[in-house]
Amino acid sequence: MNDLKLAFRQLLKNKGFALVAILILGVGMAANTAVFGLVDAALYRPLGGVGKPDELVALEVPNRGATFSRDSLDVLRESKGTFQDFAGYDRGSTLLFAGNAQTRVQTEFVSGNFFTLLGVKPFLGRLLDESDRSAPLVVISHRLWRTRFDSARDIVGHKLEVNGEPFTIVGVADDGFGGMQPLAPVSAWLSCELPKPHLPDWNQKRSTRWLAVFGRMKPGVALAAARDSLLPLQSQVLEPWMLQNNGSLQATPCGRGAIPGASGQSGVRLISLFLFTVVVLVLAVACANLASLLLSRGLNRRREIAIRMALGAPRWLLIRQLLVETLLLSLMGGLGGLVLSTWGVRLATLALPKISRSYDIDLSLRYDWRIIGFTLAASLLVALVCGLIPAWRGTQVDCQAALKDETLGIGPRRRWFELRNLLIVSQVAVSVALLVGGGVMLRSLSQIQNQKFAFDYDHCVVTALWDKDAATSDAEHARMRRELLESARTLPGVTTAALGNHPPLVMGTRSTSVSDPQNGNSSEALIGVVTPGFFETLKIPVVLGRDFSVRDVGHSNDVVVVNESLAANLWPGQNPLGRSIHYDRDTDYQVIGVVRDACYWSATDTTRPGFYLCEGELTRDGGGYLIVRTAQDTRPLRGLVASLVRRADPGHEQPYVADYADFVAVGLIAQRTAAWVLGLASAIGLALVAAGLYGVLSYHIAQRTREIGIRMALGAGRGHVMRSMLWRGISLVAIGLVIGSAVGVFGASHMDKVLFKTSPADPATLLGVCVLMTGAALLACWLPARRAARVDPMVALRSE
Amino acid sequence: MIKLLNIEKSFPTRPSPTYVLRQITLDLEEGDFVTIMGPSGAGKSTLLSLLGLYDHTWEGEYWLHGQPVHSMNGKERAALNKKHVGFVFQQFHLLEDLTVGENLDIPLSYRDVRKSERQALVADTLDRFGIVAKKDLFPNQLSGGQQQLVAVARAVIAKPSLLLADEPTGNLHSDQGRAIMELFKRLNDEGTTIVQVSHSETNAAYGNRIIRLRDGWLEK
Repeated sequence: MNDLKLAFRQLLKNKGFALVAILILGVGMAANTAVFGLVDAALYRPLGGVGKPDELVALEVPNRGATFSRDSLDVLRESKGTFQDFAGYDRGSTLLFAGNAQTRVQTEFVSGNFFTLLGVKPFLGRLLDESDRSAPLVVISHRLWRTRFDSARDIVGHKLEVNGEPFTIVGVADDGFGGMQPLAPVSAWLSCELPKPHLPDWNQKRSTRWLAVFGRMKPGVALAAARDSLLPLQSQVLEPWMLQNNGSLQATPCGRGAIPGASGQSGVRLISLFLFTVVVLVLAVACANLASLLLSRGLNRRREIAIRMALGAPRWLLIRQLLVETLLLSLMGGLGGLVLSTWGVRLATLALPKISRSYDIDLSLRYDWRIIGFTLAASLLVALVCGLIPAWRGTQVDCQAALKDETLGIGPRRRWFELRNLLIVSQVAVSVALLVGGGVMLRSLSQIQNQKFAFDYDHCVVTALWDKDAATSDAEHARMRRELLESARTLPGVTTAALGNHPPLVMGTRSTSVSDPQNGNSSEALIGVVTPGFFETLKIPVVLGRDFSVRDVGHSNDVVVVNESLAANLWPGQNPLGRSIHYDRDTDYQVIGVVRDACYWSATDTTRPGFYLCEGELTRDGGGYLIVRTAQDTRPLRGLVASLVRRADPGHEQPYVADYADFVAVGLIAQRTAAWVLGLASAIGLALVAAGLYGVLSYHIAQRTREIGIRMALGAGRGHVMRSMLWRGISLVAIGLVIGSAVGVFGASHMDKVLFKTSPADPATLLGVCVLMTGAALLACWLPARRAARVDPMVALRSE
Repeated sequence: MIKLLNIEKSFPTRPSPTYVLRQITLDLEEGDFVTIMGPSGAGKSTLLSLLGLYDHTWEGEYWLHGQPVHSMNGKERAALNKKHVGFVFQQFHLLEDLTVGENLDIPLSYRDVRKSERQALVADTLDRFGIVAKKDLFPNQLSGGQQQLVAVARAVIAKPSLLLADEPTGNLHSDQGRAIMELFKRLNDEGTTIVQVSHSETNAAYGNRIIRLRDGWLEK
C-alpha cells in the first residue's frame, strides 16, 4: 500500500486533527518564511538584473556618510588595481511628470559606467553610458514603465519632465533591476554629470562629496586582496578628517541584499539574528505542540500498529509510514505558511511607525525558488523533529497485549506521558521566555515614551518637506519655504511654527566636529539648521543671550546658538556669548545665545552637545521639517497643514503630516519592532500552549475515564476530581514558568542595548507574565477538568 | 511440524515470579487441527502467541519445521513468522481505513510480493472466499461474520502452513460461527495446520485434537 495514499486517507479520516496540525505548523512556518524572505531580500538575494553580483563591492568609510566626490571617483578609476572599474551613484527624490501624473519618485544619479559595470541589460532602448554625461536623458525602471506608461513599447524617445525640465527616455531597465537598494526601488536613473539647472551648484563641483561608490573586482580576486589594493589610494581619495578615529576605506560585498555598506549590513544582521531567534522559538513551540498531538494520536492508533505488526510489517516500515504522514502534514503546514507569510509581512509593516509606511518601501515577498526551497527544507526538518520520536514510540507496541486489550495494550505508557509532559513544559518555558522578552521591551518602550525630555512636543504637528527641484532657483525655493511657514503661522489655532532640518528625536540627526579657533577646545556636536521661532515652537528655553530673529536670516554664516553642553565643553565656566566656533567650512560663527540641552541622538540617549544655525545657505537644497504648534487638538490642523504642503509642492501627492510623537516613534523603531515581534510571537506561543495543555489534559482524561468513574463510584467528589485534574496541568505550567522566566531574563539581559531604564528581571513584567500564563493555563485546564468532574460513574464503567 | 520442550513463561512479580506456562512439552504434526481449551487465565492465548512467534520471553525449546526458534533473534523470528504463520483474532482486527481488497493486500505487501502477483492473489482469494462483491467496502460496512471471513482470508492469503486462531467465533452468533468453523475445516482439509483457542466443545469437534490447559500446566 502506498504510504502517501495511506497518509492522505488518514488525514481525511481525521480532518479535525489534520486541520489543527496544519494550522499550528502554518503559523510557525509563516513567521519563519516571512522573516527568511525579508532577511534574504535585505542581505542575501542577488541584486535583480545584475551580472556576477559577487564581484561587486561597496566602498565606504563607516559612519562618515557620503564619501566620494567625482574627483575621487576619477582617482579610483585611474588606478584600478584589483578592480575592473568603479562607478558612483547618489540616491534622491525627483519630481516626475509621467503618464499624465506628477509624482515624486526615487531616482539615482549615476556615473556613465554605472549600468555597464553592473552588467544590467536594457529591456527597451539603451541604458546611460559614458557619452551621456550632460545630455538630459533618463532611463526608467520596468516598474515605472508598466505602471505609468501602460507598458508602451514605443516609449523610447518620448519626453518626460524631470524636476520641470524635459528629458528624453532612452531606455527601460531590465525587469527586476531596482537600483542598489531594491527594498526601496528606484524609478529612474539620470547622469550624475548633468549641468545646471538639472543639478545644483553644489553638485557641479567635482570636489563635492556626494556619491556612493562601488567597484567590480577582477575575476578570481579575493575580497581581502581587493581591500589591500585600496589602502594606498585612501589618502588620495579621502579627507584627513574622514580617517580620524581609526577611519579607513572599507570594501564590503554589495551585490547581494538591499543594504550596501558594512555598517548598515551589520545592523541588519543583528536584527535578522534577533528575528530568526524569535521565529525559530515560535516554530519550536509549534513543533512541540504537534509532537504532543502526534504522541496522543499514536496511542489511539496502537491497535492498528499492532495489527500491522501481527500481519508481518517490519517496524521500520511502520515508522516510515508514520513519518510520511507527519511529512504530509508538515508540507501542508509549509504551504499554509507560504500563504500566511504574506499576512505576516503585512503585520510586520504594522510594526513600522506610520510615517515610514508613507515611504516607497517594497517589503513584498517574492515566492521564488529561494523562499520555496527554504519552506520545503524547513518542512522536512519539522517533519523529522516532530515525527521521529512519536513514530518511534508509536511503534513500540506490545502486539500481543494491544490486540487483546485496547486500554492496556501499550507497553511504555508511563514514558509516553512523561515525554508529553516534557513537551508541555518546554512549550510553556519557551512561551514564557518570549513573554518576558516582549514584556520587558514594552516596559522599556513605555519608559522611553513617558520620560521627560528637555523640550515639549505635545500639541505639535510635523511634516517632512521636499528637496529643492533643480528647476527652482535658490531664491525661489527660499521664498516658497518662507511663504509656506508664514501660511502655517496663520492657520486657525496655530500659536507658533518653524522649520528645522534635524528637530530633536526626529530621524536624520547628524553630528560634526566643532572647535573654538581661539582657545583650541573642540567637541563633537549635533547640528541643527532652524528658522526663527524654532525654540519657541518646541519650548526649548533660551537660557542666555537671544533666539534667532528675522534679521539673522540671510546672515546665516555669522551667528550660532549653542546648547549648554557644547558651551560647557568649549568654554567651561566662561560666558559663551560673543565667542566663535568653527566647523567643516572656513567660516567662523559667533555665539548669540545658549539654549537648554535638547539634542538627542535617540530617545534612549542622554542629551548631547549641539548647536543651531539659522536657516539660509545651508538649507538651500530644501528638505527638513515644518513644525507647527497649536493650543488645540492637532487633528484638524494635520489636514490643514497637508493642504498647505500640497499647494506648495504639487508632486507631494500625499504629504504625511503627523503629531510630533509619531515622528519620534521613528527613532524608536528598534524598540517598537522588538516589542511588536516579541509580543506577536509570545501571543502565538501562549495560544499554542493553551491549546497544547487542553489537548493533553483532554486526552489524559479520556484515558482515565474508567478510573475516574471508579473513583467517583467509590465516593470521590466532583471537587476532588477537578482539583486533581487542574493540579496536573498547573504543575506542568509552574515548572515551565520557572524555567521560562530564567531563560527570558537571561535573553532580555542580552537586549540591554535597546532596553531603557528597565531591568531584564523587571518584577512587574515577571509578575504580569506569571499571571497571564497561569490564567491561560487555568482556562485551558478548567474545561477538560470540568468534563472530568461531570463523568457519570455508571456510564464510564459501562463504556469499558 | 512443531515441537515444544519444557516451555515456561513467567512474569517477574514479588516475592516470586508468576508463571503463566509451566513445562509445556508438545508435538504438533502437519495437517493437525488442534483446539486449545481451558478456563480463563489458563495460558491459552499466551501459548498461541508463543506458537505464532509474537512472544519471545519464554524458556525452553521451540522447533518449527525443524528450525530452533529458541535460538533465533528477533529478525529471524519475524522472518519465520512471515513465512509460516497466519493469525485470526477474536475481534477480527481488520484495518478500518482500508477496503476489503486492501486488507487482503497488506500481508502480501509486507512480504515483498510484486504488485502484479499481489493483485492476482487478492483476486483469487476474494473469489475463493466468495467476497468479490465486498472488495471495495470498508470493514464497518460488513457484518461481524463477513468481517471474520475477511480476517480469515487475510490470514491465509500468504499461504501460511500454520493458521492460529484466538477464539475466532467469540464475537459471532452461532450461524456465523458455524460458517467460520466449516471454513477452517475446509482449509485444514486442504493441508493447513490449524491451532485454535476456544471455549466451545462444538468448535473443538471440528478438529482432530484437543489440548487442555489449567493454571499454565498441560493436562494429561
